[in-house]
Amino acid sequence: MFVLLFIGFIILILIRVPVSIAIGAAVLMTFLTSDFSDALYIIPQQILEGVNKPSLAAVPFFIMAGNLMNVVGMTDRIFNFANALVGHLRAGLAQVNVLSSMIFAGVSGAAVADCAGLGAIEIKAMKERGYKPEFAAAVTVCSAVVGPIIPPSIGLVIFAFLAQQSVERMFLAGLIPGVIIGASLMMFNRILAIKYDFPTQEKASNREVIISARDGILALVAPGIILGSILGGFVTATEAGVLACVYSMILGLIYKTLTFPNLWKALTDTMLMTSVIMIIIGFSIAMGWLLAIEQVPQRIGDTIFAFTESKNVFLALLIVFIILVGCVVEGVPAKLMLVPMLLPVIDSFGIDRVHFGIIIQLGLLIGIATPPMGIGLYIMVEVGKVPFEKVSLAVLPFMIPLMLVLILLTYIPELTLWLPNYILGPDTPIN
Amino acid sequence: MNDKNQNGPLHSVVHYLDLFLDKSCFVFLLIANLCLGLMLVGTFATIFLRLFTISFYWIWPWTMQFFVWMSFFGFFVVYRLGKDIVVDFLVFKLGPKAVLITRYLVPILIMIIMGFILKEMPVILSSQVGVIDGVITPWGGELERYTLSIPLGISCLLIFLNSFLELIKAYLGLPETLPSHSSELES
Repeated sequence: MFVLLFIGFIILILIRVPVSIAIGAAVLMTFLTSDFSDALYIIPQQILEGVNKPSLAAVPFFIMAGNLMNVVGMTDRIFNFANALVGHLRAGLAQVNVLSSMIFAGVSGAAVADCAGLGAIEIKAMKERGYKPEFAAAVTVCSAVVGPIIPPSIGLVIFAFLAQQSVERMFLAGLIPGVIIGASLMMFNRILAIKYDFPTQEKASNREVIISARDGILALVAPGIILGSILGGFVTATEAGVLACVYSMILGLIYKTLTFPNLWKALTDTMLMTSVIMIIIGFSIAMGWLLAIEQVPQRIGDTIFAFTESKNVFLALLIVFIILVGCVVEGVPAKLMLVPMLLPVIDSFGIDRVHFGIIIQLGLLIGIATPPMGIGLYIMVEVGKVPFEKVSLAVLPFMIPLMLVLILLTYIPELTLWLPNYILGPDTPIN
Repeated sequence: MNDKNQNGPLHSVVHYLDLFLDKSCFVFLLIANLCLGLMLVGTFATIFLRLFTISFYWIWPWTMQFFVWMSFFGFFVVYRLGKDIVVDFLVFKLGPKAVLITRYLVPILIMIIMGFILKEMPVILSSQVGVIDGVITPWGGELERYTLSIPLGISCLLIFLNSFLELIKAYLGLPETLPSHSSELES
């Protein structure tokens, strides 16, 4: 049944069927071939149940925070600050690109705001400095991977909902991996810079660094406010998302960049993206219901155990599987399909669910930079005006550091679990 | 009379249906954005009023009501504006015939899915009995549970019409509304 569901979904996607409809059609097909073909009302009922989940109310706010930061021009200030700080290093603007994404990730919960907003500034600057457009686009899309790992993250909110984990724990778990990804990309940039003799720029004076920091300070403290307010217990994750939005709007008022058209654009972009996500979640909940009733996760678990009882072998298979799925299925639907099915197996192998959350998040995120479903590549085609094939080829070398980090995070769980366990204490699943 | 003629009846249908769907899209966009704005205002009010130890128990249930409404009203807007994620490079690489086939196939599939949800809607509405706790109205009492799913039904009907329009456009050889790739999910 799962094979039918999955293959049907992939075929539909490849023939131009919109993702949410493809998942809906796959769910309908699976229901029709199951014992529940006379109870199809369950599907719309589950869609409604899936959308009406309080723990997902944070999603639109973390999308909106990133959109607002873009429309009020905070991304320019972040870029200028990062440029003053690391622009003089080998592959200066490529390093600026990564550092800007890391800072921006502390406010935004989605990579799209990074690719489309910050990406436009970064690619323009890199092209002007003599970098190849496809290289600029590749760095941009790969550095955007860090966005949904460093908190806040919509993907981690959705995982927390699916795996019954606290959002705070998931956010903390993403912090160190996010920094490691950023650092590895910067190191890789340096290696490429030496090999290909990339352009360099003069080191900014202390005065220039101070001025850019002063200009961007209000944007730079935003991540601290968001994470601090959640971890301090002052607000819930949803409320922290709202604080991030209100804070961005206040910055827009201070810098006189918040106009009604800007605000309307941010609202519209947020609403559209949230609607797509929620409808996909709705259909996926219906699918999850059927898979659970048919005991598919248990059967998958039995099959895997018949193949291997080694945790390390299982982890290796897991990351290969996740990466392959991430190449053809977008992050949200992939997570909604895989997490409920894999959780029993994950538990059986004694893998911490938080650890699994970061593995699946990064594994699927790599998919934004790989064809055919690499949505980050499509954005680069529009924003950077680079042919799809060229960006697809240019991102290939960057798969090396991303894959290495994924392997590192998979086999050293402490990199993920140390911080949340240190701050929040040992893990206790929520109900 | 050739119905592919520019003055033929099908062109009139396309014209009026396009107009109707455009206006509906604008109204739904307004409502969905308003819902999002009210979610923001309500949640911020909760945080702000907490400083003064004031709280209103109805804010959160209304926030969730707006969340569901925003998602469902936005559903039609997403389709009308072509903002869902679509992988089309493969079909374009396969040539004009593949493009033409999928121009018919995709709307038909969307119509099947939407038609199916619409068919099941009466069952859903009749099963949603009772009120939603905390969603109190200015005229007293609480909103009925079925109000959550009404926007889903209307959106599905409009998406059905939108796909029907796309089919007629394909038949008439009118240009296709291509999806935007500028939207992304959580990634």
